[in-house]
This record gives sequence, structure tokens and C-alpha cells, in this order.
Amino acid sequence: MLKLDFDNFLNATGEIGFVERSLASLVYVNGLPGAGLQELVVFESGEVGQATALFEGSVEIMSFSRTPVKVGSRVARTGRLLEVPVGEGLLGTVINPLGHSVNALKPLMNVHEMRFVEVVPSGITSRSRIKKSLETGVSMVDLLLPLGKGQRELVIGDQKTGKSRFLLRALLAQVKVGAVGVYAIVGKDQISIKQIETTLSEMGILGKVVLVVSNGDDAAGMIYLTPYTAMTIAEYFRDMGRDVLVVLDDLTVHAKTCREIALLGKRFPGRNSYPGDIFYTHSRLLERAGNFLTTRGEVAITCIPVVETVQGDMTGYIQTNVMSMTDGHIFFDHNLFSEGRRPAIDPFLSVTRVGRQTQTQLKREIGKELITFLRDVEKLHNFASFGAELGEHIKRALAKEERVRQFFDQTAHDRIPGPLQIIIFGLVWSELWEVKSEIEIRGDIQKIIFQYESKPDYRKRVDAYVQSCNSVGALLKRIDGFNTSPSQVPGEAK
Amino acid sequence: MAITQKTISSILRTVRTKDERDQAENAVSVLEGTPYQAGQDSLEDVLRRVVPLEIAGVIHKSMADAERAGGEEGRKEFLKTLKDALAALRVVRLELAIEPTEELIEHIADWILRDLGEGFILDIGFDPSVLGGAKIIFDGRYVEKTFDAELRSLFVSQREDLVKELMR
Repeated sequence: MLKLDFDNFLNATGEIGFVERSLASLVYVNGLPGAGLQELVVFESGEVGQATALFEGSVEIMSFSRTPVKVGSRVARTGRLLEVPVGEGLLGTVINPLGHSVNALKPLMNVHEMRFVEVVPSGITSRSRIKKSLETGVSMVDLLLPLGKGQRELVIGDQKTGKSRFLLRALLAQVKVGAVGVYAIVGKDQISIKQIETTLSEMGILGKVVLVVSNGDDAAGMIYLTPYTAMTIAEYFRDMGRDVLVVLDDLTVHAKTCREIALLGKRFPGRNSYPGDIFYTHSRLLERAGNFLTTRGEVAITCIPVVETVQGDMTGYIQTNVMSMTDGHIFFDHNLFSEGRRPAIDPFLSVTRVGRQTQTQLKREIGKELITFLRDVEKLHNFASFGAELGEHIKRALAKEERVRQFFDQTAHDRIPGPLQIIIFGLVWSELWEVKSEIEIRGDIQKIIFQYESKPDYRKRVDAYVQSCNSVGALLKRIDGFNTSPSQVPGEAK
Repeated sequence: MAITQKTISSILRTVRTKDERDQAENAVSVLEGTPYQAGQDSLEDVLRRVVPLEIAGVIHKSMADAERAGGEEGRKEFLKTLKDALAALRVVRLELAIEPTEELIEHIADWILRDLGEGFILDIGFDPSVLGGAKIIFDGRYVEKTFDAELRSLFVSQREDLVKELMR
């Protein structure tokens, strides 16, 4: 926990306060006549808080201390706003929202700059249109719900529907292409935090990610601060000329914490007892992401906030709030998850508002063909459920749908590079794999991925071929050259 | 009836410290409750149990005057005005290195009355770590004029000279 020298600040500012009342995270202090809003204050014990309201003769302070503050304790102003340390030394570390390492044996090194946690988001003149696509390595998202660098895309769904796995894969894909990852874990239990850290380490990308964590039993002030600290760190790396992917997991807990603080502070409750400014609390955070024009060129902060639903209900207050302030949402359906679909994304209920403008012509066509096909097949399912005899064309469509599901199923693979997604799509879409069984298709996909990752020549061939195609027709023309087991396919083998 | 400022001021002059103010407020609460209590004791005896003799005497006399002049209403008005005046007193907190004697409290109270005027009371705390001098806290403002602070700043600013001197 950050501890400051109380006596120094007391003598420097010449003002003192005494704790009158302590209500969980909120402390009411008598005195401190010159305190300003958001100012950092220090208690006698050395721990810190932030002024959240000013009254005549007293100040309301949000404490960042886990232990309750004693009534009668002395409080001093610091005369400054809350800042966190930033620098290259943050990469690979796990820090708390005040910017200190949670592991006492691994203190932060090489962090020389301090940045304010609360800043006004950049204006329109320093932003640019979203032009570059952001690859997540998850075929379903990259082809059907493409993201762009600088986009804010909400991930929404029930708990235990595979959201975190998707987020980690997106981080993996981005870190592999040189971006920095910032993962904010808001108010989760220690086990979940450790699991995420371990997974990042197993993926080999922990050294390029900053984890900003707060536990469920931390002070409400710390939980409140977590996503803001994460965004401040992202802004530092943006200013250093590096693209950043920020994950905020999750904003539902953050909203509940804001509600707790507001109700304790006797703020008038709004809808569902949330404070009236809950929208602003999140919007001013998400506005700090985007595609920016900096001195080092165009650099993007892509933000993926997470919001949980209950029983798939997307119409909740916080859910609809965050949906309206983001550039799209990816919906994880608990029904699809229980059917075994991985990822359990419902492409019909998901939206991407700016990702398509970053796609190539080919990818756009692929996305269009796929979504149209899936929609049509959905109707066929309704028809097929009657139990009547199905025509040949319906059977072929259902079989093709099954192949497409096999293609989208990404249980085993963390990341499928973009060009490979297109090649596999081509094989699935063509008639080459019509007679193959589920297991054979899965095996072929694994072979292709293995070849791509281990054989540079194969990789070059794939990349060049994908570059040369600008339509689905052109793609399918010579796709058989990439078929892994041509002897099993009727027709030719090349 | 007009409760003269003089009457209230005469009572407030006897209240020099925060403890004495608390006692006086306690006395006012007792007096507000006495019409509703049965008992053999006189009002003066009741007052003397909760406040020092000096304060008890002045309050009793003033209340009796108010009751004579305005009856029950006069008494209530007097007690209310006194209560508000006591609450409005501003506290000057001093942290000293010694336990203050009666003479010291009187001396400091006289200084406060002379230099700051009426309406201020003392809250004296004992903090041996200051070594000498005082820490003064008033209306959220803090001034440290202590030997402890002086010595600390001396050891910081004159560190090199002191070390040289000690090593000689």
C-alpha cells in the first residue's frame, strides 16, 4: 500500500483535519479548509485517500486503505492529484491501482515518470479514422465481427461462457504483432487473478503485458480506481508510439462499487440505485481509447470492456449503458456454451460498428457470405425440426454448416493467423471437404496450422496466395493447392 | 425580555477550555430537563454536581434573572441562547510537551482573550514528543513551533557540519 510521509505534508501545507466519521471506504474529516476535489490526502498511518466531496467545515474522503480509518486520526493535504508511476518497467508486472507491485519481492524498476490517473480525454483534432484491422486470432471474430485498432468493443455475456479465454487470445494475437497489453482485473478473487497471470505466462506474453489488479476484498476506492489506472498506463505506451490493447474485466463489478460508494455518501440514487452519473463514470474512461495522431505517428488504444449479464439479459442498465458508448459488442451466449460451441459467440446478436471499414475486400466478402449463409441455414433448422424428409440441397447446406462450425470451433488453438483463416475458409467453403468427417476436418485444420507455424515456405505460399485474391471466387479457384489430404477428395489431387 | 449580550459574555468568560465548554453544555442540558424531574435537591445543588462552582454560580444567577424577568419563556429563551453561544465558540488546539497547570491555562486564556478576542476556547493536549514549544491547530490550519521540528530541520540543514564536528 502506498504510504506517504504524513509529517512532511502537514508542515508543507499547514492544514490539518481530524477524522469525524468512518463509513467503510468513506471517511468524513473535520478541517482541511483548503482541500480541493480529487486532491490526494494522507492519513496519520501513512495511507492515502482522495477527496470526493467538500462541505462547510468538513471533507468527504474515499480511503484506499483496506483497514478502517480510526476516528480521531489526523489527516493532511498533499496539494496534488493522484498520480501513478509509468514506464517500460511496468511490462511483465502485476500492480495495484496505485501503481505498486503486488509482489513485495519484485519491486518496480525503470519507472521514472508519474502520470495523473484522471485526465480529460483527447479532443477530436488529435484523433484519426480507424483504418487498421485488429486481429484477435479467433476466426469467428476476425471474419464475422472484425475489429479495428482504436475501436471500443464490448464483450458481454453470462459468467463462465468463455469471455476471458477470448480476451487472452486477443491479447496473444496483438502482443505477437508488437502491441502492448494492459489487463485490468476489477474486483476479482485471488484465484482468478492468478489463473490469468499463469495463462499469460504459459502463452509466453506476460513480459509484454501489464496487469492492474484489485481483489474483491480491497477497499472500494481501489476497485473504483483500477480501470482508470489501466487507461493511464495505456496512454503512456501510446505516447511512446506503441499500439495498446486494454482489457477492462469487468465493468459490472466497477459499477456496483460506484453504487456502493455513492449510497454510502448519501448521493441520491438513480435507476437501480446507481448514481446519476454512472454513465459519465464509464464514458469518460472509454473515451480515452481510440486512434490517435501523435508525434510518433498514428497510434491506437483499443479497448475491450467486459460486462456480465444474468441469464443472457442484455437489457440491464449497465449493459445498455456500456453498449451505447462502445463501437459494438460481442455477445457470448450461455446456451451456445452449453451446446459445446467454443467460442460461444452469437454472431446475430453481436455487432461491430467500425471494424468492417478496416477489412480487405476479400475478408468483407467472406464475412458477408458467411453471415448470409448462417442466417439462411438457421431458417432451415426450423424447417428440419418438423421431421419431414429433407431434400438434397438442405442436407448439403446442413453439412456445410457443420463444416463451418468445425472451422469456427477453436477449442484447441489459441490463435489462427489471418491468412490461415482465409485458406481454411476456402477449403471449408469449397466442395473439397464435402465428404470428410468431423474428425478428418479437425485433423486437417490442425495439420494446416502446424504447417503454417513450422514451415516458412508454406507460410510464404499462403500469405502470397491470400494477398493475390480479392474475391471469394478468386480464392476458391486454386484453393485445392492447400488441401492437406487430397487423396481422400474426389476429383483431382495436386 | 432582552437577554443582554453582557450576561452571555459574562458566562462565556468563565469558559476557557473545551472541557469547560462540554461541562457548561451539560449544565444547560440538565437545566432544560429540570422542570420535568421530581427531586428534593435545589437547582444550585444540581448545577454544582455537573459544573465547577464558578460556572454554576454565574449560570444559576443569570437564569434566575431571566426567569424573574420573563417567566418560563424567558428561562427557555435564555437557555437556548446560551446553548447556541457555547456551540459557536471556536476551538484553538495546542499540543504541549508538558501537562498544563491551572496558572498556565489561565495565562494562555488571557493571551487568547487579549489578542484574539472573545469567542475562542482552548483544547490543550499533552504530547511529550514535541520536547518544547507547541503545535497550534485552529480551523483546520496547522502551525508547528516546537523544539522537535527545529532540531529535525537543524539536523537536515546542518548535517555535514555536525558530522564534521563530531568526527573531529
